[in-house]
Amino acid sequence: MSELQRYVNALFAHYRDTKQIKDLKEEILGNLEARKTDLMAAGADEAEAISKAKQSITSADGLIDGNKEIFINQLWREWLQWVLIYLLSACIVSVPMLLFHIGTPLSTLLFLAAALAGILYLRFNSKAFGVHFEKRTYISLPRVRRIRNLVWIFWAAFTLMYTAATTAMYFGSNIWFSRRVSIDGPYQLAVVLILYAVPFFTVILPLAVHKIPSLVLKYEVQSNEETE
Amino acid sequence: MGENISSDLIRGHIDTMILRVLHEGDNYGYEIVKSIGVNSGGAYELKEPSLYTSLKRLESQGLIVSYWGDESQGGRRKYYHITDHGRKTYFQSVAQWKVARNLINQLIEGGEHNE
Repeated sequence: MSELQRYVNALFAHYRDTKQIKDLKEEILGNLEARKTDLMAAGADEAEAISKAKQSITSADGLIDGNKEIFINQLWREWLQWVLIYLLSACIVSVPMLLFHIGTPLSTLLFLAAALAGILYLRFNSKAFGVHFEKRTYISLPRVRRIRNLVWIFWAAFTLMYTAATTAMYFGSNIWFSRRVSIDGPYQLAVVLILYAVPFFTVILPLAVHKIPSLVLKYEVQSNEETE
Repeated sequence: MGENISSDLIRGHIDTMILRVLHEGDNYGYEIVKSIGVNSGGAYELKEPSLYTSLKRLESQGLIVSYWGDESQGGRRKYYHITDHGRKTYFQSVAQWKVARNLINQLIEGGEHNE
């Protein structure tokens, strides 16, 4: 394998060899070899020609379909803001649960998470922390969308399992433990409702991930901000 | 070379520059870059990443089509051929450029004498 071929393979190391990528690799290699030959014809030695050819293309990230160049830290800043909003909303919704001790751990957890997200957000924004908001990175939009869909599927499966398990535990107690179900008052009813509500608080996770694809589009580097 | 050429001013015309080269005959990537360099008298060099982005866009718009050369070893060359639609678009772009060039000239030049 020639040095230029190895170089082109390295440029695409992070990408699967689809038909599109294979063609692009071959095209780039053909052009690099033409450049090398041309430079050598103009009097350069081989090592110099190869190194100059390499300099003509140093990254393939911008050439991949679906790849978006984005201001990554601006994206994280807004994403943290959304996570904070979701967590605070969940905290507020969970406040009535503090009346019933079964809901206390969840509520406490939510408050802690919100506080943590808040601190992170403030630090991220503070100059002292030194976040570079002009930093650019390539992100694959189709991949981000796939992850978002997977997270929703896992969440749905988890919620279903949890609800089924709760039902089996609570309403099946007569079968498993020979103990009758007793909901003999508003307190017991609330306890049952809280048991069922718990998985729905975890919706924060898929909601947060759901936000990312639209943020990728929002923080995409526009062509007039391109660097050569 | 090309330090004092504003890449912002040129970027919007890269597609037309490539169409011009292909209007003169089928060609492959590196040779297109070279022709553009020659056309500029050595004052401008098209960067390879910009070349691939432009070629991909032109192909998806149906202005050019591609085919593989028959080099037997090493990386094969991918040649591009301008379509009729591409030729029409090229002539339109040239006409539009002439109008814009005159207008912009009229709007921004002239002030430099009144310092």
